[in-house]
Amino acid sequence: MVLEIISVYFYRNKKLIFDNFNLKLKKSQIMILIGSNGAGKSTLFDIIVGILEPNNGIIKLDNIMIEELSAKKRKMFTYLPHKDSLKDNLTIEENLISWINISGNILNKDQINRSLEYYQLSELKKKFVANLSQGQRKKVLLTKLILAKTKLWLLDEPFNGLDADSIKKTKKLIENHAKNGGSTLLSNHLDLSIKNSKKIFLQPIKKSRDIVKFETWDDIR
Amino acid sequence: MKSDFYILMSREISIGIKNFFVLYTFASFFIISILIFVFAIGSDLIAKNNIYEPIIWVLLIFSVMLVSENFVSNDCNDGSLKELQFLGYNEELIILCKSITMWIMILLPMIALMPIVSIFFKIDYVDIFYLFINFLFATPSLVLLSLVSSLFSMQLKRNKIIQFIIILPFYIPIIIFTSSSKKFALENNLYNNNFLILIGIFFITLPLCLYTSRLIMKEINK
Repeated sequence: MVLEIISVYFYRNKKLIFDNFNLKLKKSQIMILIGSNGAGKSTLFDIIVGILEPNNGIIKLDNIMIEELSAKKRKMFTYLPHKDSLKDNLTIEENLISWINISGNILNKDQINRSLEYYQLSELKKKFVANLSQGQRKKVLLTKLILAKTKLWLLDEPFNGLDADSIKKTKKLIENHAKNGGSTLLSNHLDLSIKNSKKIFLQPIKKSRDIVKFETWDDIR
Repeated sequence: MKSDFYILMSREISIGIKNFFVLYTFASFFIISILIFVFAIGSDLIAKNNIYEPIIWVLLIFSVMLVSENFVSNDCNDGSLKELQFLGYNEELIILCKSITMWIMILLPMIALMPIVSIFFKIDYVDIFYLFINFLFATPSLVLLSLVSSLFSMQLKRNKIIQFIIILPFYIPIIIFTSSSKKFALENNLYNNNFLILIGIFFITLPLCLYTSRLIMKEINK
């Protein structure tokens, strides 16, 4: 199992966000979390990568508990959060080099140049990120997936701000990753189709005034 | 295999070099504020010479506080602080690298401004030497405190006044021992003791600030 979430309970501001949440992501599997704004999609990613600690439950990456991984984490997954983590005062190329260094990858400039061609960013590589549009920033962020050597991709709303052509390219990228044995967990607020993907609907069910329960698609069925 | 310290330091320095405007903001704020004091005091050189130390140190604290937000808030807002955390970098190491970078890139160039300040206040050669020494020993503590203060401001987005109430008292010992070196010298010739106290303050501030930063960084994500 690439990723395993077992009986996760999570409270935020005295509100129950996840009540006995379970998820299993296998090798070569694509899983899409679908939910409305504020449904807890980003929170779930933060719990998976160890930014937030669940009140109860276990998170395992490659059968190793997330708390035991520390620096090894960066070799196991690539997480693209909602905020792009790009530095406005650096160029696209410099931002990618900086990310390569901190994520523990070893790549040369040729590989970076080739990866920039995928979203047609080659001509913009010397441009400061501050001067890019929202869509272009997203493409820079997604270029990290081409450079990443990890098997697990965690993508928080990767299609936001992208044009139709780039959405198609991103879907293809995810599908190819699965073909090569990689797994992807991604979130989106709208239903979308990716070949051989499994969908999970994060649906808040108001049990009482303050308690919100989430159920997986399997539970609903 | 590069160490985490090396990776973070090279990252911070490459970003710091591109943020040249921060050094410019710091230096211009410091010099302009000093000039305002010089004009306010007037042409009495003896009066200026007697009170230059507290003025320099208070303005230095304000200047450091002004620019420290750039080192933390940008990373918080664009998500790169969170990125470093989920990539498994130690929170203490992140702040340590940020403070070293801030000291090298912002405060070390300030030594070049000291001769200009000495002209404004008619500081003699011996006194400016002690100002340098004080500067080298006191500014690392100032940088650490200002970074904690900035992290507080990110966490307490609505109530920024608490940040000052909590952090400002920690500046007081530094202010006392940096701005009283001349008095000590005249009365007791205890220059050396002053420097040792500043080094002592640094070794108390360092673990305290790193630990506090770790706690605040974890709180920011909640």
